[in-house]
Amino acid sequence: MIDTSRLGIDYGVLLPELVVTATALLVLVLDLLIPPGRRRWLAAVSALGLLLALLATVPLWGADRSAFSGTVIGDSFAAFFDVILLSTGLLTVLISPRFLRSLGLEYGEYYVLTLAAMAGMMLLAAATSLMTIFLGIELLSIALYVLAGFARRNLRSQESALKYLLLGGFASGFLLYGMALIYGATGATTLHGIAQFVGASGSSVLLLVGIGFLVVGLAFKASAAPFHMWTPDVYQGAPTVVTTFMSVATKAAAFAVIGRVFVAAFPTIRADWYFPLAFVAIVSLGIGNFVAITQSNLKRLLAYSGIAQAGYILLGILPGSSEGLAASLFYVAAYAVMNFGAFAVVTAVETRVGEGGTEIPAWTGLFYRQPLLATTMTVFMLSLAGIPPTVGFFAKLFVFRPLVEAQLWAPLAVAIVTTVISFYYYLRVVVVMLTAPEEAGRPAREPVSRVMGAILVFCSIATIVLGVFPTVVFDWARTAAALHL
Amino acid sequence: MGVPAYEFLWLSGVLFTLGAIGVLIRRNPLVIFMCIELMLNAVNLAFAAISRYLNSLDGVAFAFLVITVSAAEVVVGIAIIVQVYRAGRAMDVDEMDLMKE
Amino acid sequence: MSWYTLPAGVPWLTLALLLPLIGAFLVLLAPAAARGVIKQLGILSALLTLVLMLLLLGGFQHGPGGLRFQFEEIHHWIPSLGIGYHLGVDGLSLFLLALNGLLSLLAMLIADPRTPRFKEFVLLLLVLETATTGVLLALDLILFYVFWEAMLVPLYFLIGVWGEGRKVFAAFTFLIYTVIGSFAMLVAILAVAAITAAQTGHLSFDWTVLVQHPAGAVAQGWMFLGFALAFAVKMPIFPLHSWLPIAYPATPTPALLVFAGLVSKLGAYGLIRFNLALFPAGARGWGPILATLATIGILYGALMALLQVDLKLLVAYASMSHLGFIGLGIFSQNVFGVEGALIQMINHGVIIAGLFLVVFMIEQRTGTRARSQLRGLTRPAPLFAGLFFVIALAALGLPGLNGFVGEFLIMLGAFTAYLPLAIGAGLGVILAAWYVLRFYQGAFEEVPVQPAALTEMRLNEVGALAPLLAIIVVFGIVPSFFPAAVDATVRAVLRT
Repeated sequence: MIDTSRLGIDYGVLLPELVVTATALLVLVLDLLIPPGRRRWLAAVSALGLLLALLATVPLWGADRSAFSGTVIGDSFAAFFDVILLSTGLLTVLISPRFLRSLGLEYGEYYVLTLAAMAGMMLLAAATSLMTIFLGIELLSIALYVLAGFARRNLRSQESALKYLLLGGFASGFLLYGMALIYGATGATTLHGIAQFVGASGSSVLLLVGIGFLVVGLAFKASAAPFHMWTPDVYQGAPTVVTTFMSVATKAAAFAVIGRVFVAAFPTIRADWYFPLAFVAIVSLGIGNFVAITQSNLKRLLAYSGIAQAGYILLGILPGSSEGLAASLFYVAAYAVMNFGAFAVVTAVETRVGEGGTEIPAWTGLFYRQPLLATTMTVFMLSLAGIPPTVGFFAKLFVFRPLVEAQLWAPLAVAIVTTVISFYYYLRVVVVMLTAPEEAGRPAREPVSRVMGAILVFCSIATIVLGVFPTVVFDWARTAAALHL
Repeated sequence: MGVPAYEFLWLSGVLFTLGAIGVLIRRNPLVIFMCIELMLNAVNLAFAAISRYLNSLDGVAFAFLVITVSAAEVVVGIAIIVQVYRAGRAMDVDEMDLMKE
Repeated sequence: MSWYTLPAGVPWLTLALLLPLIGAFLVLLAPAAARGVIKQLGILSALLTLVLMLLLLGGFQHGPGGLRFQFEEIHHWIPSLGIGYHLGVDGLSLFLLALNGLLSLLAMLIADPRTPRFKEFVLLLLVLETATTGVLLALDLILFYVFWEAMLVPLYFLIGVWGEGRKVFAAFTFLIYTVIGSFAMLVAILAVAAITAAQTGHLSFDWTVLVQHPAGAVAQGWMFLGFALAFAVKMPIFPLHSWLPIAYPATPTPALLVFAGLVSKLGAYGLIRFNLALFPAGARGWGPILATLATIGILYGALMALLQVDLKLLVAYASMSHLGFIGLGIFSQNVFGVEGALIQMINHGVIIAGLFLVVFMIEQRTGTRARSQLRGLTRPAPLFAGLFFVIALAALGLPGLNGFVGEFLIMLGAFTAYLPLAIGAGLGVILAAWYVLRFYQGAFEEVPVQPAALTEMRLNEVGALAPLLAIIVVFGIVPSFFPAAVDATVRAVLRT
């Protein structure tokens, strides 16, 4: 019964995670040695470490290396998410120093915690056992609890950290209880073992209740409705760079797990998990898109938009096919580019205007004050709405296609109706930026920092180029979605 | 052998429910946090019981993992709660509404 | 036969898509203050595009050829899903393409460099031209959809930022209507590809593949509905028109030329290209219903046009009435009707652009668009009044001008297909004469409200109207200008 080839110790599988962890420790030590005025160098060291980790993912492409008693695997799926996560982390680290300085928060711990969260997320992408899934989720969550409250003198930041902590702990409880029940029902903790048991004996009440609890816990991390209550408050209260990182990377990591668990471990009982997941997807689409209309704070608006986007990503999981999973993976990659860009613009505006910069009225006439910021934001908004020629369009197209093929009309209909609604609030942001400001005198243009400018241009060009030539990334997603356990 | 395994599962279910109800109805962040710990301990009990019933060590290992991780979570959690308290906020989650709209 | 042969191996159609984009890129680089340069750049790129399209018009091989496309370009795009970059021209798209180039150039010519944010305005107009060209050229359904949706963005901003009155509301109303239609079409596109893939064994979104593998009648009905919704909203066909009286008056005139003159015709083009060609069984089922709705649209549009005081709204409703004719012709589903619709699409684009230009010139002179402003135009500005009269006569379908041929063929088609509807449409023709003459009659009589304001046409204004007038007269005298190529394509689409 025991497959000895799966017991091996293979550090190569975890090399990217190890590099990131080592960088975190290195930064921790360097923080003690570097004088406070030079903390920018910590960002550079972190960025270098992330680049190295990116290199370390190369051997994982096309590999199928299960290791450590089948608790982790090095495969294209993991590598796909590693690339998304590491790129997001890299860009976050690059835009952070200036923002942190403007808030007086230049502490080395920021980078350590970000890297620790990264390690947790990457572990999630590679996890093939309930234990490693749990470890990854907690590693990323604990680091993010602290990061959310990183603005120590800001009450909102503190409040958001506390909310995230309490609701996150609550969700962890459900996740774990679900894992315990699944373990009880199948006698295994590795996904491979669970899949074998489920394939042979089918489902049981205990297993279904366990899966239900697991969905609750994972939906919480992916900020999918109805487990999204924390998202707007935490996104709004946390320092904007943290929100940027959290909104993209956490969601990507959560979907790595959801994809692997549902499509790879429970394919034979799709009929049983279809309804809870479809429910979560539909409610996310509805709540996210409807409530976003009423928001007057951009961070909250993007929080609700993120809830809706989680719904779209889930749509790809519903058919339970690798085609659908590939669509979801492509969507995650697209979401990473466009949502990171959108939040990065918010960060840039806030760096200039101060905390009020996240309120929508402060964006009136941005086109005339900051054409670069406004133009790139327009690209990201169009992409989030799914209008060609941006990557967001193909993300939606690819996700809708398997639904049509599987004839899942109900979720598709909801997705389409809510997408139409989403046009309202995404385009409202653009119109606000185009509206001429009331006051006659234009405020002087403050240049956007060179790094931020370069990153925004990069993200918006990527959004458009991937919207014209999606093939390369889509084919990667297809390779990654051909899962083996 | 004494008490059968499913009795333990029932107990863990009751503990978990109590913890969850506590989270939902209590207002003091510290008490909520304790209720979350109660939920985690209910999970540990379940893991231990199932492990014994199935004669596999995975569950016990999992329980150890949960204990370690929740210790880390407590460290961070208490620090955040203290920080909020020092910032001069009342210890009542219902009053935390700086961002409600 | 053709007038000349264009060298093969040149990606002419890609070039047609790229020219406006290159212009847009150059405009992007220009400093915002250099308004004159920006306008020249806009005119130059629109002009080059038009020249290219006229080259294509001349180099097109006329004659029987059925569904053979010319200047075709096929490349892989997303091969794993059977999505390709497939462009081509046939009799359906050939003349609309030229109309597209002409109206885009006119829009550039009349764009006022003093417009605030003129740079972005020109940029969006050029992007719009690429999108509309793409809609006409795309033969892959996903590619078509991309251009179709991409058309929305520039239009949305042109209305929402540069519009007048309740512009943001107007932009949103237009957007929401069209987007609902578009998504219905997207689902239908995915469905038709999936059904064909089940027949052929491999996924393809290529029109030329899909047209050879019609689905079952029930599925066709549903997919027909999905496509028809998208196109009927854009035209618009009654009762999906309620965005029109909100959006048209709010649209700035340069954009309105393209919007009313061409974009509405793209809806009609889509009905022929996709609804009739891909879903013949669906068209048989839905045809009578849609033809009835189109006829209601003719009468409704005409009656509403009679009631309007605002000239822009009057022309907007007149346009709706004319599009009802086009819809009726299409859903007659015989050679006369569809060819008439095709001819009427070109002619109506020219006429409606001319009418909106006249309204624009009146508004520029007097500051309002009330119908009373036209009073006594003949005396101070005889040339203006004369040219206006020619366009007005074309609009009511006077024989000898271009409006007549299309309408006549459509009526002929409708008489063979649905006699009662043809009678209704005939009533529409009478109403058209009524509202057009009422529209115009003030010009002859009474004294002007603001005599000083009614000045004669300037040379550049005559220049803007001249190409439209030329087409109105030439196509009226030589209706056989639409040669055998159109006929062959229409017969192939109708499978007769």
